[in-house]
Amino acid sequence: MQAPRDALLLRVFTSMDDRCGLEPLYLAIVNRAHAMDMAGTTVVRGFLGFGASRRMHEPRLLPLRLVDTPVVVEIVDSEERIEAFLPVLDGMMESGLVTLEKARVLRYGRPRAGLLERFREEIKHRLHLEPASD
Amino acid sequence: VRASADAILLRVFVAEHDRHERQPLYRAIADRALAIGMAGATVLHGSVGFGRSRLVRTELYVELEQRLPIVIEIVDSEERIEAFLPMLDGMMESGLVTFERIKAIRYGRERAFEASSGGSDAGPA
Repeated sequence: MQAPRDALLLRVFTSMDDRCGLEPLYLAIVNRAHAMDMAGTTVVRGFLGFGASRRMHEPRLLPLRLVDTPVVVEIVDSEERIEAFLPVLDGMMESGLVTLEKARVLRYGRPRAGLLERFREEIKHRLHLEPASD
Repeated sequence: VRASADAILLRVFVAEHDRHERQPLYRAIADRALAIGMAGATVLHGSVGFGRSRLVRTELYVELEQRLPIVIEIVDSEERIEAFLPMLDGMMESGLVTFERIKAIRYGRERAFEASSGGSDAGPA
């Protein structure tokens, strides 16, 4: 196990309808975070919520598109990198809420590393369990 | 960058089929939060989960009554969260409520968090 390291969890509460320029804001944030090589980003969709507008937002299906979906963008990285991302975010946000909390992280760097090997092992294991055919 | 204010993140873990006066509990909590003027609330769906009942609910099975996990998140100043707790207490039968100290930066037409500490101001310019 890797040692836990101090990090920050940045969360942006917004709506799928909010935009940054022409692009949906949540996608713009993910793209900027990716371009700035942040450690990772996750977008979670909500199904009910309210904020500054004092109106309850509920996703509704209009012809061709879903509107009024609350969305939360989560980014975890070191304090310095999150601090560096804040001014960028500041330039993108028109309304919404940004929260910061301290987090301790364990990072597993090589996603799916050894998956092929695990399959091989599993197959070998199963073949081994089969009684010899002759 | 706008200054951040100290705030509390309140999270309420309930089930989709929990009810409060014939209304889904998550809906009742969100409506009440809006009615008493909390800064905001977001309701999220979980895909798999279990609680005290030890039953694992997943969205892989379509049940007659959906019983998926639900998380309600509310961010506001400590005083306002404290004021909301007795109401929440009156609505909850089972479930879990957690608090975290966080920093919040608000954008848009929103009012500043009342009693943001440290002289910081998260209000609109």
